[in-house]
Amino acid sequence: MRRPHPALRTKLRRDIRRTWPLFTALVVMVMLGIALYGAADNSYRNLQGSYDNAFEVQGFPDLFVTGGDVEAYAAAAAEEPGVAATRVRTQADLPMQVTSDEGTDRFVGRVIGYPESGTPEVASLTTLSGASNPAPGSVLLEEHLAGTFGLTEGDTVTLATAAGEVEAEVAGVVSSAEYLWPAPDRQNIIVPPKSFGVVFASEADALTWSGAPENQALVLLTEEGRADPAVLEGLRSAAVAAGAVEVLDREQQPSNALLQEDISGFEQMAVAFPALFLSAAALVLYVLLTRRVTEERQVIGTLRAAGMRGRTIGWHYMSYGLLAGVLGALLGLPIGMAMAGGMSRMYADIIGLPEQLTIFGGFGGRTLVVGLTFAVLATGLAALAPARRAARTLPAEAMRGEVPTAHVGRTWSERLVPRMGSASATWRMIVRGIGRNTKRTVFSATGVALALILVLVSWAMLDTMDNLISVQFDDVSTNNGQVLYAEPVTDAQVAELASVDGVADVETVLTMPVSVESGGQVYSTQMTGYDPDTVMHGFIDEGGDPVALPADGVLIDAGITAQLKDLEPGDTVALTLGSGPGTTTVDAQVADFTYQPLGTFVSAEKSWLAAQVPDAPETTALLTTVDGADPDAVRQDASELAGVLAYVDTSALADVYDEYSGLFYVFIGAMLALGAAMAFAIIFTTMTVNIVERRRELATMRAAGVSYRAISRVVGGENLLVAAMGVVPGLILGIVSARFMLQTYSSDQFTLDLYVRPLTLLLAALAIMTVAALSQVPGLRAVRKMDVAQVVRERAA
Amino acid sequence: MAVAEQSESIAQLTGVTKTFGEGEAEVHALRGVDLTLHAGEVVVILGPSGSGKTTLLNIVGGIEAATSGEVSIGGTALVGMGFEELATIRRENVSFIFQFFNLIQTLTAAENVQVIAELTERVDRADLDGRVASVISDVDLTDRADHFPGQMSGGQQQRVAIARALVTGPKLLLCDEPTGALDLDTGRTVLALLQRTARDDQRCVVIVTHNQGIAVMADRVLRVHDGSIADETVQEAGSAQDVNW
Repeated sequence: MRRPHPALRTKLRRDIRRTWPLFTALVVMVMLGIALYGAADNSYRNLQGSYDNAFEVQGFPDLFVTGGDVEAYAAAAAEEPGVAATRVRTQADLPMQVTSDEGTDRFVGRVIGYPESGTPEVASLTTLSGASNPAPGSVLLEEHLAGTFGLTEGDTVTLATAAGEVEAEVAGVVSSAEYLWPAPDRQNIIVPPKSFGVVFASEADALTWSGAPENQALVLLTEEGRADPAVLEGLRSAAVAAGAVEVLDREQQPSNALLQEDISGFEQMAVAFPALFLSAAALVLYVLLTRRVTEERQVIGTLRAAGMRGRTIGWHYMSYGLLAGVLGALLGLPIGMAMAGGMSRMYADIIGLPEQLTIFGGFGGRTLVVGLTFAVLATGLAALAPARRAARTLPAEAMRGEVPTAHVGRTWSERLVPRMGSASATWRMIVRGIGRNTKRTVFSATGVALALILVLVSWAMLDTMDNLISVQFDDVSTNNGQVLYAEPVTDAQVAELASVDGVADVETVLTMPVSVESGGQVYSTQMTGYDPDTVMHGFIDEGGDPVALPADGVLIDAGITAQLKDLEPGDTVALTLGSGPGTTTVDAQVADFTYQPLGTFVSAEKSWLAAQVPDAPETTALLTTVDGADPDAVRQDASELAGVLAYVDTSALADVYDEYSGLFYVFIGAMLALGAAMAFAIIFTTMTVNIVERRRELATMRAAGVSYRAISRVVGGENLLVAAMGVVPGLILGIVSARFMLQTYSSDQFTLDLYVRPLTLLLAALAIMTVAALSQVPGLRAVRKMDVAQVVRERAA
Repeated sequence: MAVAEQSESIAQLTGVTKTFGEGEAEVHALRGVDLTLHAGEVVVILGPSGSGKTTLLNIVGGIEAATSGEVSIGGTALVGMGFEELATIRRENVSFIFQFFNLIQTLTAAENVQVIAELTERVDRADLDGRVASVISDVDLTDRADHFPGQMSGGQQQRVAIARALVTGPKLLLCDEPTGALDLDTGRTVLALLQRTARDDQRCVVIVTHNQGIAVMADRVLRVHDGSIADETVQEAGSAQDVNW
């Protein structure tokens, strides 16, 4: 390849210096896109790699089978090809009590059986402090439980077990990949603080305390087994046939499901962000270079006439774009990798991924190559068309003074505006100006639309989350507290609870685990029987209209169709009610689907449910509080009543969601800033190019004494109109993109239906238009400072 | 008596200098120029390329500032004025005509005239249509009023530029090589228009050119050489049809 022409190299340097604000805008856009790519991609790799490592080290099961003859199932599964190992264990949810300096907290926690010595091949633990195995009478605390209550070795946890109250000593603190996100089940993916925790006890203790036999089989596959979907399907079918009430694979395991969604979000961002920013940069570069090539036609023609090769000239213009791409990438990549380090560590700390399991870094080479490739491809492709035009310029044609305007007459833009015939010449000039260079107008509007998409997707997700919380806690879960008793609730206890200061209403409910079987698929969740005229729960459909609780049959939340895809209202399903040896299977008609944003549950009238499971104890009471009641005081008073095992403060759960919303606001703010930066760069560049192209017209107007303010109105008006053209498509595509994003996150755990406030649309559009207005300021200042005397003498280009 | 001596003074320059650059690159474009322009006269400023004639024109019109000296239009001194103040002076007193017409390509002939009238606010909205039609008629382009610049010849475009310059009713019309891009016949037509507007509307028309042949139509001819007015000739103005190059 020939070396670049020295004079053209000098020209390139000077061109960059002369257009440094535009070149900088270009470089910044590429830098942002590549930085975000680097940050998101590396974060994804860091976290996924660490996660995979945690799974590898701890032997995270591929299948969790609960219920049925787990011993027989595990033994049979172990013989299957593709299976590395199996294990059975006991798992039970029991009332627990922790006494700390702040008082006594009662909650329902989980006891899981673990070997007294050695490290099992399946579902092992990582020791953070103290013992690695639980001795009889002692427990290992899952790290979140230890952290929440400030517990350490030597402290005690009191459990209400089948064998009576037990005070278990804390022997150590451990991390379990099953509870990196400490969710009790898929239906309760986020729980209030101090309302759930996990302890690991010896198998013997777990059996004794739960009062039930081993009830969970864990299956670990080999790599080959994982690669063949038929292996898992076969094992799943066998589990259902063996009477399992719940069969979860890795993807469905609650903690993993939530964290994988989060981590895959990074992967999506690693594509979406660079795509947005590099597209915007490409648009800007195309507009810029096209204008430059047009302006320099005579110079190009002269060089060609002097014998310079077209390829050399083409490469000169490509260089401008490629240099911006490479510079932007080289600046953005280290920023991105630094951000990734910080983001990964922060995320790992939040979820409690132990340092000994994390694998961070080591992906620099790949990220560098891919990031550079993205940047070079985007800028190279954008520069290609103008460069080719320059390379193919015919000398004689180019050296003519005036370039004939591509369009003579009225433009397409004028046809879009009504009553142009009676409009002022100024307004006609503004409207026609939009149509004088259709490509540039379209590119500018597209850039604005892209910026608006970026802003709106984030903002729409926030609105959706806000609405979700509102619907969940104002319309669906209308109770304020849940009280768990050791024995079936008596009328006296109901009255006692109702007399607690701040309590408005009390209702007892019948709750039990349930698995819903339909079409060979099983879905496990919770079922609750309510009073017919309950005020503790709202049953609504997706439109928000009330749904009646059937006297015969069940209501199921529509999220179940994420798992049982063919289920429809009116179908009959097999319900396996209860757990352990006391399960009952009945057929029930699905009266209707209901809408519940968080979780997927089954509901029925209490009397109907009691008729199906006559011996089921009614040990749960729900309550509502009066306006202004102190939830902490109600919780404290209710917890101290005789017979109360645990109290769940539902309003505290709403507070937890509000806290996470706070993080979301920070995210929105960041997206708004990025969107604004993108819109600014695009409008700034296209406005500058517009002004350069029209400088003789503007100088002539200035020479005629037209005020700067009048010129600002004309030039600014045209640019704002172009920006406004991008607003409507941006809003529409933003909503479509938001809906698509939310659908990818929707599951039986979250039903995310897009909800966007009209005010959000207005504010997002206003924000972008404000940025568009501000981004014109540098260009308009250049108009004010224009050397009128020199410009008016220029020939047209 | 020459036109200049009979009419009011429109613009005055006293001891005007203009210097570009610094040190070794310093260029003295004008060196102590004194000049008075009167209503109703046609002044042709002749000189070779680089003599300072365009710089002189620009300083008279207030689109370039003198390095030293005094410049006034209609009795108002321009020295020390800011951009917007100068724009106001131009709006009320001065119009320019350029070699390459500088029309707005997306506007018709009439719209090119109208937009200046609107943006300078020199014509009441109620009178706008009538005024535009009047100046278009003055330059004999009524049948081309709805045509775009790309649909017109060079001469027609320059006539539109003249109409645009006249719509604000300037006292001073400054023309930088107005026939530079035109053939002889078309040039004569344009020059005849300029001469007519000077006589009929008592405007001062200043034409900067390197073309000796145009001098014949002037009331006064100034020859600029190396930044100074080397020679000033007052003469009996000939017809624009006598112009030849």
